[in-house]
Amino acid sequence: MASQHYNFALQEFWKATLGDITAGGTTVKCRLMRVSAYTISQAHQFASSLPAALVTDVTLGTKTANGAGSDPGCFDAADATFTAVPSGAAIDCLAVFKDTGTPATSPLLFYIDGFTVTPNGGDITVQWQNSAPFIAKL
Amino acid sequence: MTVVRMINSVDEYVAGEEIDLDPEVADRFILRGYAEGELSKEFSDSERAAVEGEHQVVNLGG
Repeated sequence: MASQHYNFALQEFWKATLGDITAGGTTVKCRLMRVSAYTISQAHQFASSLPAALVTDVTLGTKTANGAGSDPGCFDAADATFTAVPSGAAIDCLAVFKDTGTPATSPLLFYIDGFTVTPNGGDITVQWQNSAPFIAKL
Repeated sequence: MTVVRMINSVDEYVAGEEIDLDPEVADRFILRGYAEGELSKEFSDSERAAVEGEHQVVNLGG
């Protein structure tokens, strides 16, 4: 698979029903996953379609909708650190979603793969791309 | 408690926010570069190495 938006997210962006994703009061989370446990489907709309969290999801901060300031349409945020990720098989994909507090109503936004890291029990920091598309571009 | 400003988002601690942390956690976050603030004590090189621990980084490009 390749990194991609969830189509339902694009639909909701067009309908402006997701609100301001970058607003401080909007909780956007990132979940580490394994492709062996999750296959992206455009039928997936909410976080309830994701496998159980391997470790505490990271709440993204310093969110922008213009990358580093001059890239309109690019969603960016500070790097995300997951602490004490249990040792195990390689982690090789992640999902970003808007957290409503209830997985069944938390819209999925983006899916990213193309990386791999084998957790050793320590922390894992995901460094987002520092140029377009940053985390994702509409 | 120690006040730090988060640089990274770490678990439920959100980047850009000032938060109160237990000094031990705050020291760990500062030494690992996750937050900025004042350390609760001076750390030797070996202590720093121990606190910095096994930190893995996934660079998604650029």
